[in-house]
Amino acid sequence: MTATGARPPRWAEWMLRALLKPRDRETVTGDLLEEYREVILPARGRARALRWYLAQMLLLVGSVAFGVAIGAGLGVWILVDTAVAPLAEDTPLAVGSMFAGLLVLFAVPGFTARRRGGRARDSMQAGAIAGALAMALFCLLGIVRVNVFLDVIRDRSDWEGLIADFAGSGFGSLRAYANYVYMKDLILMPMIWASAGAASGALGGLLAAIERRPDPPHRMVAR
Amino acid sequence: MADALGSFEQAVLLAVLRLRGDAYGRGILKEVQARLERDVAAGAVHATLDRLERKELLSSRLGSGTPGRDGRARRYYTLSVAGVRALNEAREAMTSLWRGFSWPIKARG
Repeated sequence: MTATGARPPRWAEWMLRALLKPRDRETVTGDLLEEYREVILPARGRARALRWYLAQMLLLVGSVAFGVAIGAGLGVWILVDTAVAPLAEDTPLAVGSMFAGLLVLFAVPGFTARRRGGRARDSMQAGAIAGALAMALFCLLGIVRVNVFLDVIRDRSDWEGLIADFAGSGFGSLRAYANYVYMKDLILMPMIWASAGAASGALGGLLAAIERRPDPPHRMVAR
Repeated sequence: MADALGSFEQAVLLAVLRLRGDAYGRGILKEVQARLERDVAAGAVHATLDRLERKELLSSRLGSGTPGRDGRARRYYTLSVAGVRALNEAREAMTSLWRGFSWPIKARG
């Protein structure tokens, strides 16, 4: 039985198309659509078929697209959050949870790299690329945030340190000094998160290897 | 000699060889699943095809779509000369590794 006309949710297809290289958009989504309609949906039902589709998406999307998606998502979220509640404090717990979540997320490209047949080094590299790109984009959108919302966020309590440093910095304007500080982050943070991402990626690769570990080999007898 | 092929890469290249003119993503997936006798992720096959094409072991061309895929184009793959050579080298290496053993090997302990 085939599920003629059935298709994965539009948002999932849209997301996959956005993350694929232009040359693969038609062909890969077409292959997945065929498999989804003819095999997966009739055999597994809608909920498990969606889970299958999302799993394929994770395997298809490279570490570059993964990092860009995470960085863009996080950056846009911070922009929206600032627009809605510009003076709301970032508690240490919230910031810590975000970074812990990122560390877990950067294990995903390492896991998928190993599942695709890659080696431990590929897992580390995938995590490092995702970490560096995500943080670069996040910091870039952080600079946008500073420039758009400076007049409001300068009154945040977590900006007190930056304002105090500005007084003794020799910079003529707070905007220029804030841009200087955030530009330094734009250089430093991707480097730090490349290392963190590499560690997470290695862990993800290790998990994939453990999951796939074959039975212990029998001892062979040469004749 | 080129980089040694992984076993999954060999499975994908051999599927392309078997399917000849009909080697497109989903067809290759089904062939690999049938030969390996296990479920294989479509994403893993596509990623491998992409990698093999970058290594110039495969080449591809676009074909027309079907109603089952809403008319979306298919990408058909063909083995390159380098791909055939890599498969032959992989087979040779495997044969050399197994030389001296009779098959099936016996388990001890």
